Amino acid sequence: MLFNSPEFIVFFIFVLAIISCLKFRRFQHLFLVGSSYIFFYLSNNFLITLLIYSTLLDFYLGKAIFNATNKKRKKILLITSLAGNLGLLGFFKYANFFINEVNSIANVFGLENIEALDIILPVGISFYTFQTISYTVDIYRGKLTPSDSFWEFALFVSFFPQLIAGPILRASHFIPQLREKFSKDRVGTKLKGITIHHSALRFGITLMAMGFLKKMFFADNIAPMVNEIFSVPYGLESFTVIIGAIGFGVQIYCDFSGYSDIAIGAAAILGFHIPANFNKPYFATSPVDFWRRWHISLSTWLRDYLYIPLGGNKKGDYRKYTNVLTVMIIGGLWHGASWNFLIWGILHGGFLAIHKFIVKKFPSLNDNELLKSRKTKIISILVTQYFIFLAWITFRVEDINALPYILYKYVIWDFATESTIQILSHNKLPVILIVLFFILNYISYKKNIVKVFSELKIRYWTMILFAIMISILLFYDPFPEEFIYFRF
Amino acid sequence: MKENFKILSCVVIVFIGSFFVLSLFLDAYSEGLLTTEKNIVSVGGIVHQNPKQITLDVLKTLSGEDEEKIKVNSFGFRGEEFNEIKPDNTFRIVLLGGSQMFGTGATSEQTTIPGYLREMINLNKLDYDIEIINAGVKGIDSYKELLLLENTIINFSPDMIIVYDGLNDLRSVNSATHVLENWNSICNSSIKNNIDALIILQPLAGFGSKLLTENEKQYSENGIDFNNEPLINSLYLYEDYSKKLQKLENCKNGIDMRFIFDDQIEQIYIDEGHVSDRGNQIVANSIFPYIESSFPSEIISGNMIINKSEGKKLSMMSEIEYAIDRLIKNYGEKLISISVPAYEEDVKEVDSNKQKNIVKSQSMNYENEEISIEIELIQGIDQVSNQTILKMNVINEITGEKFKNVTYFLDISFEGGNILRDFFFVENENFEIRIMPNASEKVIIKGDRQYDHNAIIVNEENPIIVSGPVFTNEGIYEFRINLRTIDDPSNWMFSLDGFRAEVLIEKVV
Repeated sequence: MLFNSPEFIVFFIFVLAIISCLKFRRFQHLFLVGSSYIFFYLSNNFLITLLIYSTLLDFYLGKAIFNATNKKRKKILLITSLAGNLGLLGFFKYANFFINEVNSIANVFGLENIEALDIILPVGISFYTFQTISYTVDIYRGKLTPSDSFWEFALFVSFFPQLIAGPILRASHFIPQLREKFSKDRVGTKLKGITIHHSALRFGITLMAMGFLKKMFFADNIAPMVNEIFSVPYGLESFTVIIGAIGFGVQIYCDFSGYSDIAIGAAAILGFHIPANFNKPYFATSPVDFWRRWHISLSTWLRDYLYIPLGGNKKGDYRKYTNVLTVMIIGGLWHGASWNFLIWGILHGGFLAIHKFIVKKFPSLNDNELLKSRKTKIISILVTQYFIFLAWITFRVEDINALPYILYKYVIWDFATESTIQILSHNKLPVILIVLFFILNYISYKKNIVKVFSELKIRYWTMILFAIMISILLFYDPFPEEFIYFRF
Repeated sequence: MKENFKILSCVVIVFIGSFFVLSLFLDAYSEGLLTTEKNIVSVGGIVHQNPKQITLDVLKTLSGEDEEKIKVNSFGFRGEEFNEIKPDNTFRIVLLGGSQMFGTGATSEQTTIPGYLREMINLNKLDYDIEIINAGVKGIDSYKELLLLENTIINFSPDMIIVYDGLNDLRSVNSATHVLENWNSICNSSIKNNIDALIILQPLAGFGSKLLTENEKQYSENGIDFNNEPLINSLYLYEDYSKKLQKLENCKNGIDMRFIFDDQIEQIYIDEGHVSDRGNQIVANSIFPYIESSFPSEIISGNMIINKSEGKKLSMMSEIEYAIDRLIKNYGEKLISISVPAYEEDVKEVDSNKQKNIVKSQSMNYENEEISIEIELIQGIDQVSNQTILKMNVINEITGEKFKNVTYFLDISFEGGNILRDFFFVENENFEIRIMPNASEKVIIKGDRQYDHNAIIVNEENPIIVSGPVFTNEGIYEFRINLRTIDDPSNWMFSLDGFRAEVLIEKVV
């Protein structure tokens, strides 16, 4: 079930209606688990068994790790959990890529090919396995006590707003939200009732509307131009490549952050807080800053469960750079098994390592007054984004053999304009939308638009919703693009 | 709770309200209020009420870009004007086919199959002019293409023709042998005229192995043929076409493109047989290598430039020859049109202010009948609006009968400049349009369009109104008319081209 489908709207209204009718808190929670499973079943049918498998495995292993008395036993149990989760992920996501690559090597030596497996990628698998891994690892580290109730844990894994494309939740953040709070940081044993509060309802609806606007108005209407540019990469002019890269950057941001907004908004209506996944990434002033702003739930996950265990930046410079590179390569491959994501990961790893190297080599840069001025900030944003958009090209390009050509054109400008003008002239709408996006993005960088909107007088709020709805409907293409991050 | 209820009712109002506004907008559009011409649902429903398309269309109209949407040249084909005589050092390629080649579904001239081919040729920057002519006509099948080739295209002396067939033959349930016969005749006729011919069987939704999207699946299931049978039932017939394609006798190449979209995951088809811009691009991409391999060796080596000066002389000679040839040819049959300002006779019968002009074109031979076109202009019906009525009839000279179901390609010019050019389909015998001359820059024709030929439907209930700078000046207006159907809407022809008449317009006193 897609978020941008009428089915989801009906489903969500149905869930809200039932939940506000249910009197007992336990029923409310069980109903949420049930509806999450129905949601998953409707998008994925029998693959729901994988979700249940992952839930059962980590619930019991989590308990066992917590109860184990010696360190060795804890370790073995943790490894079992990791193997169980990563094995699942590896099989469904990477088996065929691996077979393909082995075959291409085998071809060189004239060996017989292995047949590719007939598997489909289960939607959301990358997200929920990462979620359950964080759970067992946190227990192993002694940072988290395992959940007593299976249903609570099941809800944490399957909570439907974020089930298919994140944000990746942390148990330590989510599970306590299911209990009544005693004080600021003490949680009781009493289940929390789910009541729909009017301010949360308005905030949630506004955020969801913004998400739909980003996805259906911006991303879907920019997509045709990006598809056109990247469909025949050879012979493109430099400016076309740059427009394509910017277009794709805007498209993927609107697509993914739109999804996250809908998820966070839907959860907010139900009274749950999901941390933000994006924070205006295209205003990042350095690669490190970018990763603090882009897909935050994944980058912090990688930091906590990969970068730090690898030694982080505590084991010397050489290790620091290789760690950064490894983490970013794995982060790239997390998106899927293909050369595009591998190269994308390497590029981002490289950017981060080089940035860290420069900062280390010239520590005086940090305190330099000149570099703190507004002008230099703008320049550093532009330079950073030049590299970020360069990396988006590797992410988007279909024919990997064309990549060197496109990157060459992106870096070394040919100043030809003939076909660029042609492409721009029959893609006026996408171009206008890209410009509009940057204007709106700048405004929201300065001010929290969603908060401002949701606190307006109700008639103005209704008018804004109406404007959003009309813009979506008038530019609605009955053949929409799928959410890009559903593939991951 | 009360607050929640208030918020939710606002959301409900927004939902219902915005859908209401959208439906008003779509209704207004289909009533023709927002564009210069009505958008008519054609065969399988090309305009599936796609709000985005409609919004863009309306925005285009508002910004005045609408007029450029589909340009029809004086031959009645889509695209820019071209010279009937092939210029020197030019490799001329004529693309034949139905609406797929014409570019139904393409969002612009550049995104039709010929448009993409032109772009690819430009990118390759050859020292040789390559001219691509879009001769796609909506709704024609292989037999009509043969007629078009023999009657018209041959005169353009193309170096190569590309025939893009499938849907229209399949919709008329033409047998595979029949289609092969047509293809073979096309090949024979091109061999005779020293033309390279390439026959292509086009892709259709559900006829290849493309993984169809939900929408495409529906199109594939809902597509029907002319007998209202599901098109997909003819899967085996199409398979037979493809087998026959291998048995072409005099053509170098027959390409089966049924499986061309197999690697595409995204939506390509916009109905059972028409494709998006992306689809056209893919098709053009796979045609291009065949075009390249047909180029004469001079193009590749660039030798042609050296001969250019010699060529020019030759061309002048051939132009003169051509002109003489034409003169001799037309001498016998050309009935020089005479303007008959007939108001003196009519004064007694009709209102004194009305002026009537009746003019007749030359006659042409069609199946042993003499056919001519009678044009009647009535001016000064209404003093205020200065309305003029244009009437036309196709007449059998021998029996005096008038023909029904006529599709006209009407081209009116004044002092060498074109004023009005469009296709009109007239169900009954009388072609009548009302012309409201005004000083605006554009000619606007209001009316529904029929699928075939993109022709405006003329019937008695809704007279067609043309407004714009038509007949605003005194002088002689030249009418040129090609007849595309006669007697029966599906009786296509390409042999009744070039009717001419001159009409004198005088200011009404």
